[in-house]
Parts: sequence; C-alpha cells; structure tokens
Amino acid sequence: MFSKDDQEKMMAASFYPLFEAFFKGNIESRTYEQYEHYRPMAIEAGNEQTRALLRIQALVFNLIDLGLYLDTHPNSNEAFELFKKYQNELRPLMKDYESKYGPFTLKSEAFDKLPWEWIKGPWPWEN
Amino acid sequence: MWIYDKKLEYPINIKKKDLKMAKFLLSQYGGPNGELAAALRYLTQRYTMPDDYGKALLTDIGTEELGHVEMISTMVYQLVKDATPEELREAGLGAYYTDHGKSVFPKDASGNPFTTAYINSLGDPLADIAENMAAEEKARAVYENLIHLTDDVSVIQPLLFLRQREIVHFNRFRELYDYYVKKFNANR
Repeated sequence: MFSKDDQEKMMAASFYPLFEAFFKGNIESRTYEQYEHYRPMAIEAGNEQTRALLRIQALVFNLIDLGLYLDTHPNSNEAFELFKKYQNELRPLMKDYESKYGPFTLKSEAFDKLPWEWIKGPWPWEN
Repeated sequence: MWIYDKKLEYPINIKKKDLKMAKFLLSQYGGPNGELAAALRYLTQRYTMPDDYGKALLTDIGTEELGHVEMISTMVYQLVKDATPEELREAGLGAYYTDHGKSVFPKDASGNPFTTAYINSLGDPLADIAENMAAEEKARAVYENLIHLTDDVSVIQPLLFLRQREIVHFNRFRELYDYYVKKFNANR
C-alpha cells in the first residue's frame, strides 16, 4: 500500500456492482473466493419494508468494505468515488425508511413523537 | 465510542429449528476462533499500533466483528427459539439448558465457556498482525466446516457471507503486515 506498489494495485482494482458485492460478501472481484460448489444467492425481499431495508443493508455493507479497502489504499480514487456515490444514495433512503419504520440509531432525525419509538420491534434478531 | 445501529450487517431469516446446528454454531460466538474473540483481539491490539494505518484498520475490522457476533447470535437464537426442553435434552443441550435456558451464551461447540486465553496481544505490530492473519484463516476454516454440517440454505448463505469476510479481513491484514515489514526494515 501507500506507494508505487499501491498505484499498480489500484489500477487492478475492480469492484462488483452494489448487490453482487453484498451477496458475495466482498466488493473486490480480484480477491473473491467461491467455496467449493456453494454459490451466494440473491436475497428475496418479502415486502416493501424488507426491500427498502435490503437496499440500505447493501449500501452500508459496501461502505464498510470500501472503508476497509481505503484504510490500506488511502489514495484509491476509484474506491473513494464509489464510497461517495453510495453515501449520497444512502442518505435519502435512510431518511425515508426511518420516517416509515422507525429509527436505526439515536442520531436519527425520525424521532418526532411519543410513545418512544426506539423500543418498537421487531429487533434485528427477530424474524 | 460505539452507537447501536438497529439492523444486521446481512439479513438472517431461519425458519427451521435445528438444535445440533445451533450447538455447533455457538462456537463462532464464544469459541477459540469465534467472532467475540476476534472483536476483542483487534479492539485490544489497536491502542499500541505504531501508526494511523494500524489504528484505523484494527478499529474498523474490530467494529465489524461486533456485527458478526450479532449475526451468529441471531442464527443461534432463531435455530433454538421454538425448542422444548425435551428436544434440547435430546440434542445434547440438557446441561446448557440447565445453566442458560435458551439464552445465547458464549461457549464453544463442546460447552467450554469463552476465555480471554483465545486472544493475543503482544504490543508488537508484526507479531500482532501475523496473529490476526492466522486468526482470520482459522475462522475461515471453521466456517467451511460449519457449511458442511447443514443443508439448510438459510443457514448456509450467511455462513458463506461470514466466510468471505474472513478472506477480506485476511487480505487487509496482509497488506498492513507487508507494509510494516518494509517500514521496520524487517528482513523477511
């Protein structure tokens, strides 16, 4: 990282599209390793809420993985451009989701009424 | 600080009860190569990293591992929640039920409780990052073993995701390791 080697690696960087990266668990096609015959499957959303949540989860995942990539490739324009693009896409989707289904974090702008919405389930481990 | 984000990193929706699988999976919560050990290992080591690259990477990967603790715990919870005490006993979880009910408690697949003996922190960047590369490979191998122990797609898919994350973390740690070898003029 960090020098001329890095420049060469950056040229080779190739990132999967949003959902492909999410389902595979890796943004980087160069380092993706399939396991035996097992293939990651597309996740089907059951309703409007889970469809909206899935897109948010995909965006957050891509931001996390691009963030790790940028930690060791801090001059990668390609990764940074994608990072900013996904950040911009995420913001309005979060706002819309939280206004309909409740806040993700205490920093949310969706707290506008009582009873206290934070406690409302389902919690993430419930299905 | 940390702030709770009320969603999973990757969705988990397991409908079919499988107590034996829950017992095996528990190891990736509280076992030697589990996610709790990973989170604590990285978040402990980060303070003595020699520069911002190490501090950032260990903070970020350690934080993601906390999200993986939540994923594994969710899988165990969903696999067990509809079980009767009788079924738990038949699956070899009678002793577990006695001490923990159906709560998700950090143990390995054989029932040994979590211990900080699973984590290493030497305060030496080359030793610590090499340790982490090995830890990621071991966790990858455990996920592969777990994938072989089930045919439930709703269990296999999140396990494939978690396995791939180990590969990504390994690659990032290797990049950091190679950089520290050069930085400290280590001859290897």
